Amino acid sequence: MPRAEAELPGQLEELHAASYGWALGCCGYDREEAQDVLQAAYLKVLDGRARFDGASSFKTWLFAVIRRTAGERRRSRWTRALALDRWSSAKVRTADPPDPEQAARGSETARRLRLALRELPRRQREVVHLVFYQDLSLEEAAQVAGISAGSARTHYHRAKARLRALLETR
Amino acid sequence: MTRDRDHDGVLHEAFAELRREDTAHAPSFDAVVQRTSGATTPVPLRGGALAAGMLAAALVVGLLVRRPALAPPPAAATLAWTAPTDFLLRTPGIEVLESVPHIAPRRSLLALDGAAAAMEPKRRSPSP
Repeated sequence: MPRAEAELPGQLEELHAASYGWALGCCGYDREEAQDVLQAAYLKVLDGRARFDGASSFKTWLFAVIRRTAGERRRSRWTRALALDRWSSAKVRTADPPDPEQAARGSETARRLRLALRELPRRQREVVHLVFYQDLSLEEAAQVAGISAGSARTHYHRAKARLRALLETR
Repeated sequence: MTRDRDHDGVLHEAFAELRREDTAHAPSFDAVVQRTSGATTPVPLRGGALAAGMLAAALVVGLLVRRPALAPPPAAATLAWTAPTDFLLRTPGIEVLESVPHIAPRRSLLALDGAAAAMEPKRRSPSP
């Protein structure tokens, strides 16, 4: 049953912290890009361009919307390069590197994990983030990533093995 | 097996640390919704995409229009070439097949029909 429109802002706000974490994961921990993606995803939900049909949990559906929005923005980056006046426009921004001061303020464990995650292929990074960071099951992670449960399992095991190797060497 | 479980535990702790850090620095819901920087497609992108599309369309049209002119004419040697076994096709009486037969005008055909009828012997009427 479709969720009543009046409930949507409350539901989004309730999941905001988790959604922000997921948007960060989708954007390679670029905070500015993550906020842009999150805003675009929220607007899609609030103005009805993305409609919840109740086929999955609201969280799973919202995460899939965020993931799709991040993908759209990623794909549109090369088109941005065609814009002749991109250098003069302050609003058209390519991905900023993460703020080094902010990174330095974080814990060493989080920093190492963030760096290791960046080295994983996108699918593996998504699945391992959804399972360990968001506490989703592999089936839910597969729904968010738009892949089969078997494929999600493969990505999950490969990601863990790669993370282990990366974290041991750092 | 135990090593896997230990590693999962290490990962859970590391991700929990990462989550705590992200949550601490997360902007508020309202700040994200009311954010002014480009969540929507920026105008230069639309203009750029439109310009790129028009340029691509012009290139395709240009190529299609110029295509026949770019095709090389067949070489004269190719047109003049005959197969070594061509003589085998020259069979006796081929002139008949290659020429258009003359058909007599309709009036003379009728005259011929009349002459043939006159030459035909008359039938006797059956005896009563």
